[in-house]
Amino acid sequence: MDEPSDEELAAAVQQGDDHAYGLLVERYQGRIFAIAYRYTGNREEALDVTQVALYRAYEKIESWKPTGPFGGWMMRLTVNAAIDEARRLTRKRRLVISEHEVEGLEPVAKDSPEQDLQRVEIDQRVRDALQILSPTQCQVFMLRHYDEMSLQEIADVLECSLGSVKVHLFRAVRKLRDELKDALEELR
Amino acid sequence: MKACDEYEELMGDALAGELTADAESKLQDHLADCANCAAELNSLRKTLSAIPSESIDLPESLRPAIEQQIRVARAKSARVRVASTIAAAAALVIVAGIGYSTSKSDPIPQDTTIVANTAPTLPAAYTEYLANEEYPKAFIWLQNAIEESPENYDAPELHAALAQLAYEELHWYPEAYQAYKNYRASHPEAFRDAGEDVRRFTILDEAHAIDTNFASLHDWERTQSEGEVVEYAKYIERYPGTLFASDAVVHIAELVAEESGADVDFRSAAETALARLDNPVVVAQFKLELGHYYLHEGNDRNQARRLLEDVESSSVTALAMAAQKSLADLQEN
Repeated sequence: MDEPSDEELAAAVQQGDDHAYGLLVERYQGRIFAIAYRYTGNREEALDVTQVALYRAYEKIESWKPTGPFGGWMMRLTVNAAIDEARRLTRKRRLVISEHEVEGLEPVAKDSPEQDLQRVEIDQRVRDALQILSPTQCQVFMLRHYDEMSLQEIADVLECSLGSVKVHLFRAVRKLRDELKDALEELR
Repeated sequence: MKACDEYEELMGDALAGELTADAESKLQDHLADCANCAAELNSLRKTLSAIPSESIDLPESLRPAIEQQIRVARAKSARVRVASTIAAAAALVIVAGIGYSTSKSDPIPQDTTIVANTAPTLPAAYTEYLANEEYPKAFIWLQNAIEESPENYDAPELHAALAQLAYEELHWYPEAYQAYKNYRASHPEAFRDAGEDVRRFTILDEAHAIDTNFASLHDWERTQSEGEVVEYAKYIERYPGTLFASDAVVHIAELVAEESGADVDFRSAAETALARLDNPVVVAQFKLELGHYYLHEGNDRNQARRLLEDVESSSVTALAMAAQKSLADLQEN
């Protein structure tokens, strides 16, 4: 038996079939987690962020119109929610650190013992740099660099023109370059 | 060094590796004549290659957790439907977002500008404030924009954004409350379909009825930050029958489930927690939530009736009235 399409599952959820949403979760959770992890640098937080994002999509599924592809709607909503939640957690984490006046302490991803210090520092600097991107620049960059979507797919997901996506990508990388310039020189 | 503005799009294409042959040729011709753009593109390519992009595997499926969250939410939304028709207690009014009649002492803008139902373009100033996390400035900017230029900014999405900013980021509850009232007044249909916004408004309205300083919401923030069973229990004791008291039951159940280390459902965790509680108000709140669970999810009307009848005889007015209403619904159906 052929597997149901995303659109068929989404329509079923709209009719009250929550089991169908479980199947959609299984299809999208990996991609959202990968993006969330790049933002938070921490597996537990990334899982929390992914769960928040996927649940938010469930809450808003009535707003998906069956005339359009479900994947674009789902990625737009979940990536947006993931970035929002990840930023909120990052701010909270920083607030705790600043309240306790721990100087020089930066949250560093230590999930993989094999990662060397250099790589860990770059990851942390990238996470900090992502904070300065505008929401759209962040979405375009994350979907292109981590999810490997084509520019046209990104334009479809974000419902903007292909030209805008290209400009957003250019400006996002330029901002990241300016933020990371010193860090990349130090680590060469 | 700065790239030529008119080539940003082509350079974005180049960074993505998606240039067509014609576009590649056009870009190369330009780079041959423009050292700035050539250097810029080279620098940005190096940046991209230095940013790791390896895929990270999901360590565990989130499907069970989300399915559980959905079950709990269904049980809670049944609670809200019941609570929305409870007659006002002395200091406690819980209403739904629709059909609520405003007090004359709360002036609400009656702007009825109809805006086309497309997502509005967010102004650069506003998005920049957000990107820089300057939320108070973002709020003030958007509030002024909506008030002073309704022809440009009176869209339901912007009203929602304003209210959400006040509620989620700033915890400015009086402002959030007013923003939701304005949203509902100016775009009632859009508001009615915005599930999460309706819930937030209901929470604010309920809290305002208890205390115009929204003390119960600030108390909830503190309770959440402590994240302990005893704190959630204290919250229920102070604010029984409220939406967050319902949430507190769920949190206590989750904490009890975590303690046991087993993958238990809401019902099992809540019943385990109930067996340990002795405060009569907290016990009554738990029984109310479990009664609703059995009624709407557990399909056990007898158990639901038994629990709700216990709560109906409680000395806590709000809980007793909620149970009474649920029993009446049980009777009719």
